[in-house]
Amino acid sequence: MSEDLHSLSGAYVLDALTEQERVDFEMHLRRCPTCRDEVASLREVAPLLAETVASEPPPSLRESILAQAARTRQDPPDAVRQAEVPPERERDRPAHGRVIPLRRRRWVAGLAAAAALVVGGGITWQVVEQTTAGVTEQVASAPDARSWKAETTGGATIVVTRSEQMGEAVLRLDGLDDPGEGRVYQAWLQNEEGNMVPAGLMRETDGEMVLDGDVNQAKGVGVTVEPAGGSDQPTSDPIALVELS
Amino acid sequence: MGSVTPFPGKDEGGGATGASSSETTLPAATESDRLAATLRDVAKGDDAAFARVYDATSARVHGLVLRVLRNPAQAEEVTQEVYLEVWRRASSFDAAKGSPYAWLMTLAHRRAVDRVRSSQSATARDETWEARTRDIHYDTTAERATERMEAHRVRTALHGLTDAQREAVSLAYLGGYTHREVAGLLDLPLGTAKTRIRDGLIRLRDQLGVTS
Repeated sequence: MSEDLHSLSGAYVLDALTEQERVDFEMHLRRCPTCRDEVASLREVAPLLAETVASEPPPSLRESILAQAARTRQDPPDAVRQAEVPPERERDRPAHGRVIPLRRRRWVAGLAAAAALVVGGGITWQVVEQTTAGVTEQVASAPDARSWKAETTGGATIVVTRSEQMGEAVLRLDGLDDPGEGRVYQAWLQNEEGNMVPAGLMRETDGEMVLDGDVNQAKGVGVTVEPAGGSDQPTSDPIALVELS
Repeated sequence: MGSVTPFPGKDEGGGATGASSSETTLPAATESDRLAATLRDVAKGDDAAFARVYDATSARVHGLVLRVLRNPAQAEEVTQEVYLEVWRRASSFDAAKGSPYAWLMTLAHRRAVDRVRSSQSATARDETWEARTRDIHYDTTAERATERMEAHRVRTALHGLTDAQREAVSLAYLGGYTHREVAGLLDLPLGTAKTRIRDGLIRLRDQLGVTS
């Protein structure tokens, strides 16, 4: 546990972190039961502070809100699995980790050049997990760890966490659809020239893997659906590309 | 920045009444349970249940949003957004993860903070901070404040914090500032600001006997 991150729990609960810090801290929370417990207990304190400033809204607001609710469709129970973050925050945040809607033209142009850079892509994510579970922990708790978060159009979350000191990066996928029979998710590193270099395979719709390759030089991380066993170069449009900037 | 007014009403006799009000209790578990049950009805599309949630919580939600935004028109807009989100996403409330108040107020606070940060640059807010704190006594917030036993209890607990902790917690939560901005406003090293915020909250938690 990084002492530095740990001390952000109070600011996190009071929404007093910058967006980047919040993404990093939420990544840290997944690993740190101590911080999770502390955040859960402090979460109950913040609402009490509002007691001191309670102020009745004008009566007209009540009518307006009830009338609008009557016209508003409710989200189905399964649509929102995480109550932690209101979705609007995700959508309104352009500053980092945005999903880049890659035009096919640009992606294919990158592929032609990438063909020369074939890296063995046969390692499945399960194997990676068994051998490198310790690495994902170390990356997440590295003092210089930075995370970039993006959402796919389908609402799945992709987080890349990189420690330049360690020269390692971890890709976490959350809530993807099943890739389909005989298909896998494949990660790619986009290098300086815009080329896509294979960085590992993942069969899971929720899981994480250590990325292969020179992550410190990577400008982006892409994910595509590929035939089982993976491809030497992307054969489909990426479902997401996270820009590491 | 020596005269930051942390919480309105801090000097309105909260200290003197502290001893007696400390015997009041937190919202009883049953109140929390009742709100959770009402939210479950809201999730099923029960608009009468939604009205009950509004009536039970709107003074706290609106008061918080108004305090962060300092603008009655914007506060009404954001309060409306908060309740429509409650209506839409009631099914995502999970009692296992925390109390219904924490869920609701977290949602309200985030919306208020998002609004204030997107509408004003930090620099502009820094420059107007002192002017705005001077206005607090004339602020409609104070006039229309809904006084509750619970508010006394919380003020008493706030008096148990050091001035430095209270300022930092107040600026972060009610001012909507990031801990970096708090450090700037109070002329503190960054590490000190976040530590004060955390220590202040932990102390409040322990004094108020909050359990999660």
